[in-house]
Amino acid sequence: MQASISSPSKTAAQPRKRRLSRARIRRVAPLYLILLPTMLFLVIFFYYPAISGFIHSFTYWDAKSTTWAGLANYEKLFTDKRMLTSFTNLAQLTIFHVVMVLTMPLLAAALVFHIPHQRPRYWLRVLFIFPMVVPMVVVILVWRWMYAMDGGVNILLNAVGLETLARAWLGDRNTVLYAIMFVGFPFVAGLNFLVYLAGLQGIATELLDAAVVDGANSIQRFFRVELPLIRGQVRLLVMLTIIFWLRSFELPLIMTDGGPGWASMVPGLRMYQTVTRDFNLGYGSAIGTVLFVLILVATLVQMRLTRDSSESL
Amino acid sequence: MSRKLRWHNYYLSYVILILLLIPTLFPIFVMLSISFKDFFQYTGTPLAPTWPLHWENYKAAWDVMARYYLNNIIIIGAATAISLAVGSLAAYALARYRFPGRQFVFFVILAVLAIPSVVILVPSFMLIVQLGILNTLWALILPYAAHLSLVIFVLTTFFSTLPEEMFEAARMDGAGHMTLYARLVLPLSWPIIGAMAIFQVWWMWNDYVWPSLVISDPVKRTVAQGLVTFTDALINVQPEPGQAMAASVLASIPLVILFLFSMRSFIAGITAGAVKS
Repeated sequence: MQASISSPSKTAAQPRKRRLSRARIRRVAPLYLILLPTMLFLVIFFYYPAISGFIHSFTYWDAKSTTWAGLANYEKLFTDKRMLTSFTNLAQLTIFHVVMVLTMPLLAAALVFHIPHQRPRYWLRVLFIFPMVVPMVVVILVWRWMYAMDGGVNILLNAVGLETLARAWLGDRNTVLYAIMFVGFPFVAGLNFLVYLAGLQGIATELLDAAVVDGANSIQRFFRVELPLIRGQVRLLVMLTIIFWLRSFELPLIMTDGGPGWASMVPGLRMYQTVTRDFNLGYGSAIGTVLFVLILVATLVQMRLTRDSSESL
Repeated sequence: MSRKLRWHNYYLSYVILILLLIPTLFPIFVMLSISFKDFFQYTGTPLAPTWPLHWENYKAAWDVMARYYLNNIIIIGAATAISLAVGSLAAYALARYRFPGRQFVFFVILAVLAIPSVVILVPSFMLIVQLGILNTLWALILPYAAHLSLVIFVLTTFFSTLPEEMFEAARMDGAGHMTLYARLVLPLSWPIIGAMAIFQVWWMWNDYVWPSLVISDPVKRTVAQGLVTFTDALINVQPEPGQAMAASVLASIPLVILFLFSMRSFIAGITAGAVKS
């Protein structure tokens, strides 16, 4: 898709020799005007902040003044023990969700794909997609209630006679990170399910029939035929999951504000707090720059992998 | 023989899928169930639905949320309109013409996709301060409208598939850019533009971090932001879980309606958006 875009389509291209004709200049000149608002928006709201953030990450920056600080912000970032905790928290959240994205939605999508009865298949599909339209903030608030002392998890534990396990899940530094991990259990619904299902639907029926004719049972068919053919989707979703967790911090922000202590802190949330709490914007910019580098690496790896997989198809 | 084996397999599939579906939908069920309870029903039977249904929870929640709804309509309406107008014009220029600097412009547009707005959160906040629009709706409208890259990418792909002959014919008749854009491109592209509009509305409605940073005036809060402050107040000040959940339901309704009425474009828009961003 990207390749077809970067080279101008044949239908739109004008013959090269007419390049300098007057009529052509008259037609092409207004195009720059048409593109001007786009460029202004992008430069003001993306490029300027990106560059400003990078430069200011080497300064002490507050509302009134900017002082050069060299690498002090980065030094603080990489030597602060609590900051290290926030990175290990982030790593745990990300790894857990990568494992989940490789299993739960794939299992559900493969099962739904093979349901032969049209109506149940349609409704299962709709019901698994539906939670995607519930706003993220709503999901987070409902799950926050689930973890409250009088909330859903403890109610269910009491109902099955495990009241000794009941606790304030978000107030306990031993459980808070796992509680945040489990938001969204069983991790099937939404985009991941949708992408897997679309991938499976894209497989030619002849291939699946051939596998059956060759005597493959459904497990063999899944691992030998289907899974290799949706490798592209698998890689894509793994990268999207990594990028999502690198840049998201709504969950700890709304549920715990990083607490208790720093038990559920992630770097993004710490960056947010440099604006809302200590107004140490240079330090916040440094965290932003580190996150940017991490996301950039993930994106480049993703681009590489998706290009490889489309070549091999 | 194989038919029987198959039925057995599907039976198991249904069991597994239903076991996955129950916890998936459980939070939505709980939210709806609690939203109709008064405090005594809640303490007595917290999960299962109870009668009578207390619709007044919704009345109370709406009294607070109505203002946030209005803000969302203004902010998201304006930002979506601006981004689609600006973006579709740019896509027209990029898809239909070859001109010096085209590749560069395209690169500048696509490279933005590698800059998630979260990593520039701090300098963007300072930019809003410098522009003097902190705590105004502009602090949301303008940065939201600047999320153009994906719109332009998707629309350029689509616009370049339109046959050049139509454009040639219209040019012969003396049509300028605006005529070509408004009379030719737009009428042929409403479905894809609609899908992109849905995608924009979806993520803007979902955004919580940015408004919570730049809006502190209670009257200017967005729905997501207002929902959190409303729920926090109900937990800390005067426990009314029914009202809090009713507010959550109210915050979800617009996207649910959008989904029900345009499932196909909704799925297309969000898949395109989420996968490429």
